[in-house]
Amino acid sequence: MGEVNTEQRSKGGDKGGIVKKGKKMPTRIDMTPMVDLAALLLTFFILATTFIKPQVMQLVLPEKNQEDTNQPKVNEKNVLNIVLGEDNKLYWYIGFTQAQVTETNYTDAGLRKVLQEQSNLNDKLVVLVKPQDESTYENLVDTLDELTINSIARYALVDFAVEDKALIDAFTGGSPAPVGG
Amino acid sequence: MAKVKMQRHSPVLDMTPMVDLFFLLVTFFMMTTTFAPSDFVTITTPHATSEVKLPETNNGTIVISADGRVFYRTDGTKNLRKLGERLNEKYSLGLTESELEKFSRQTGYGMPLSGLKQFLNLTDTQQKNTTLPGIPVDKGQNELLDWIVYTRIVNPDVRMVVKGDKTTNYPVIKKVLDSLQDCNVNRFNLITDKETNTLI
Repeated sequence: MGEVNTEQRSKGGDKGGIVKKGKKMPTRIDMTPMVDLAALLLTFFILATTFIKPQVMQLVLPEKNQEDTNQPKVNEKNVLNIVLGEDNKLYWYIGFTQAQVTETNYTDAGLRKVLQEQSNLNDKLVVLVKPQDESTYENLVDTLDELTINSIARYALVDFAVEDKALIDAFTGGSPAPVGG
Repeated sequence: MAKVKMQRHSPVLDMTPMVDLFFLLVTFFMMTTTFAPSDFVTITTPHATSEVKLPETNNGTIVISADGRVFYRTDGTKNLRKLGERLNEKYSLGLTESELEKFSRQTGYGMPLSGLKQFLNLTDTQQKNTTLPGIPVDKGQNELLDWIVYTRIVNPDVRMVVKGDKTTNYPVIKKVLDSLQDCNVNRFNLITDKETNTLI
């Protein structure tokens, strides 16, 4: 390793230890500690740097209209309702009157297939996502993701209403809770 | 033929270029590093297929923990200071100059504004050990609205980001999304993880 050379003394041994200046005075300094420090700092900053930028899913929701008259009218035959239930349950049905509720799940064979089929059948499809209070954020993101995968741009997040509750309760059957009008 | 005497090389290595390079890199990393902001709580984000990356600056992030508490953070010390001044004015929090300074150096907020002054006067370790109650988002007392509105006033380029935990129940999410929409923010970003399993 590099060091300051102090071995000049030996040359002028008989002259009472007086150092004769050599022609070349080596100017090497031991740089090892400096390198150590630099490497340490380098490692620290590399590790501290946030390498991984978070991924985001962009979500655009329809504007909240203050007046009901501004709401676009949609034929109920074009409306696909997706209800996110508790315990990762998922229901879907078309329209509101005489709606045929079907249960499905978040897998590729479930929701994605439903969306694929329905968007192929009907190119005016509007999807209403209705999360129940018991559903989780993951359910919501999964659903929105499936909508993006199937490139369905017309969707909205809608409140889970009493009418929907009636439909789901009628489907699951087990719920004795009376459905208030 | 005379034998050529091998020159004895001392094992000295010229480290100067290496040191140069090291310091160049150190400088580079020092300049570019922005420390990852802390979240107060551990958040497991849901998976999605999206591959859009979130830019590092101009984010207003709303963090929603699994138990339904809401936190808020944004970046830019100058903007934060202005944000603090605005909130101070509106809610008459009585923050002093030094408290505003502390406010602008916070990485996030998760308390009702009435508890802000007290929180700012805690030491760093005390702050870490405090369980924050979260920002109120309920109708009637929705302080998140003000955080969003004033952030957008002091920094018009800000984009709203929602970082929710997988298991958060929908009502809180709805309150947050409603608050955003009440401020006319209809375009926002949900932080997700890359889907680990292969698709299709």
